[in-house]
Amino acid sequence: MRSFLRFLLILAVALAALIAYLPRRYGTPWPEQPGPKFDNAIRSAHTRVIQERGVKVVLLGDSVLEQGVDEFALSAELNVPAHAIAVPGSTSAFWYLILKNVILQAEPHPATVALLFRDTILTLPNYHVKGGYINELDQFATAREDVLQERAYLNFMNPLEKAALSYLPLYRKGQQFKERTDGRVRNLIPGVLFSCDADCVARADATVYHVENLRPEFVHEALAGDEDFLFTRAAMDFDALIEQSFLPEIIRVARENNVQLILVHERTQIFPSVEAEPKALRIYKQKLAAYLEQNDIPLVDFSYDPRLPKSYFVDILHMNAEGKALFTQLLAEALRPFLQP
Amino acid sequence: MIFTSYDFLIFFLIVFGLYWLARRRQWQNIILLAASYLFYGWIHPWYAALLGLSTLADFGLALGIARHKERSRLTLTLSLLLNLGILATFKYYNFFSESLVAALSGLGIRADALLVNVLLPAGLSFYTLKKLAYIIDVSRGDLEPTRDLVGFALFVGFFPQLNAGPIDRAQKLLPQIQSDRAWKSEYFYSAWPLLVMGFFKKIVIADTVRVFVDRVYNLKEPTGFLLLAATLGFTLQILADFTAYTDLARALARLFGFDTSENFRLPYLALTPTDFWNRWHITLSTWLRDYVFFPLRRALLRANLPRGLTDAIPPLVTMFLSGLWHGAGWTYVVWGLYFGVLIVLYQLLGFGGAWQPANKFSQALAWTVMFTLIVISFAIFRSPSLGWLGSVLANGPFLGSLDHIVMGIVTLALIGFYAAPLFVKMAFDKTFTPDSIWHTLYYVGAVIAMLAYLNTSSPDFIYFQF
Repeated sequence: MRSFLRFLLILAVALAALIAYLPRRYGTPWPEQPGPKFDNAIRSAHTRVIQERGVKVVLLGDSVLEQGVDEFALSAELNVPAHAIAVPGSTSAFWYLILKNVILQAEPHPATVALLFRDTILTLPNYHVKGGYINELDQFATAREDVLQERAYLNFMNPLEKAALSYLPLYRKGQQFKERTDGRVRNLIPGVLFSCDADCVARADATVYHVENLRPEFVHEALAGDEDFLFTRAAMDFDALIEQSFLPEIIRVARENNVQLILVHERTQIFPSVEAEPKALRIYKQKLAAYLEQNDIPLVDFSYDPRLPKSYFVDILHMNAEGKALFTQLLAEALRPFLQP
Repeated sequence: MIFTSYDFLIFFLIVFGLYWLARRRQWQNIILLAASYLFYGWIHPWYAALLGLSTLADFGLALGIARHKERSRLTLTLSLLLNLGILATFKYYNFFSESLVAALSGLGIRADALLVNVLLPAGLSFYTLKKLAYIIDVSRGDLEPTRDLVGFALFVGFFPQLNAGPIDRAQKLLPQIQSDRAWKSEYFYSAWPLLVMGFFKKIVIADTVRVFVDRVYNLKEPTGFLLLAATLGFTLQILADFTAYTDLARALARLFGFDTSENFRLPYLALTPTDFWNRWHITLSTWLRDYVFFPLRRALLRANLPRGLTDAIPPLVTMFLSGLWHGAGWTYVVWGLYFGVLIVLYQLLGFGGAWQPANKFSQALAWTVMFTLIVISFAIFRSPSLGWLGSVLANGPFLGSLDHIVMGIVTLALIGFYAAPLFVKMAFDKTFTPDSIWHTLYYVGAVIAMLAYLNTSSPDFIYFQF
């Protein structure tokens, strides 16, 4: 008992000292807001590109868009300047921010935004928003993003986590401490032995662990594992998710700014055919389609388009060059009727 | 539900409160049983249904063995078929169906319909061994079957040890389940250091080291040096991860007034393979010893087989089964056989179970050799496939470019850094009493590190997959 009380006492003193010291050391308030902190700067050149090229159609999406659509070929097919904003790993939180803070900041802003998505991604506001994605999001976020904070973070925190993030700077800055500690350990010996500084270690890291050096089976498993998040029972419950997702906000922002929003469901190889699709996903898609119709948002669905077979894909999500050329053409055909003359 | 989740914290606090408020043993057992099934069925309710049905079957079969002694062999066979059948279906179906489909496609026969992905319920391998030990002991007459269904179901499904052991025997756990328990503060005082160490080893060491290890094992062709560094990392990761789970399981059981088995005794200080298995996953080792090794050896001796065979076959078969128990894959099978061969070789060389080094030098030498063999075994265990490992060892350069050397050194440095707290703890345990100020300071440091590392990811415990 004595040793436990002694432990408790020393721990309380140590935590109190850290709570007093860390906010001063880092110049942060105490208590802090539990969500992540973003700076005010938007670090994106897309606004300038949209303005300079007089872009009429913006395509928004992730790496599937990056590897699936040739924006110049699409521009030629549509006969209007089109521009793709493809952020690898991006999800609905990114797309909401990009629409609001990047696309709509262009003067004049484009008349049409086509958002390329797949399955349940639009109603999962907490997908790809933590860890390294916070820095990625910060590129498109301003210092005050209440909707983002609430829908991507606060709604998913338990009371204990909120309290720890607000009152325990040690917990809040955990990632920072870990990275700093690991960084020092990483750079120490290469610096002494080979005069290899932090940049040199980072370069070696990037070379050795480059994506091309990874086992293909691992890449496939990692991709499929990441996608699993989209197909949990909770993820396919459209009614429970829609109001707390970014989709209503994306629609609202587009409508308020007279932007025609078109949703494009991408072709993937996650399920080889519509028959292999889980029933819950089928119901989810029906509800999403009804919701979009109710909001006058056109939906272009390439989900199981037979014109895009497996041979056009390099993995379950991404297309090869031939697939890219064909999909660009198919997308242009699908978008053409919606474009204002 | 995993021990490091918020859901589990809330769950545990509610169960803990209700349990000690109940006071009467019968109610306490019902609460713990209900909690165990809720815990187990949290993600997939059918896990709990499978556990319940197989528990009911073994409860009845054990009573049947005692009632109809003349048919005990038949009833035991039925139980073995049932338990091993369930285990084989869930654990090995994918492995065998993939191998079969590959073999048939080699003959030009398409059998893709056999490829149905069967999901392995977490902890199935652990509770199956618990039930098998019980039913075998009943059939041998070493144990009276219990008529207390709730007590038996709790013994099988006790949530702190349901997912990854320890694999306690009925002789140890059932009498405790069937005894009255009143709250004693010593339960908490013996549990808290285990809780601190369990969370610390999982959150700070295992989950961090896992990232460096996985990066290397996910490469197409790592250099030998990188592989060595990552394998040392995995040697640390698996120890930290598995001992963390055991510490937490033992601490939680302690908080409910149960004393469960120790599963590790400084395994990397082993001097021989037999010594290693006496220190590593002790409850599994003793299970295999009592229900596979000894019966097999006795049977071979009765068959008057040559000495060489009676010495070699039992360890080979036992360790082969140990490998297969760990996972359905050729890497696990070869890993098990590797230890079987090592045990036989050590016995042949005169370094069997009772061997003790004559002096410090031979001790140091024996330790170095054994530790090297352990690290090699974990390279087999962790490899994505035997082909990958063979190709890396046979074709890849050892050092590679300067970038590879730098990353190898970086990996080693990080592993050394995260291994250091375990060395410090070992030194403290050897030098100071458990209630010394040094231990207190260590635990304070561990909690502070844990708080800093908690706000990152927390993957499942490795042993859940077995």
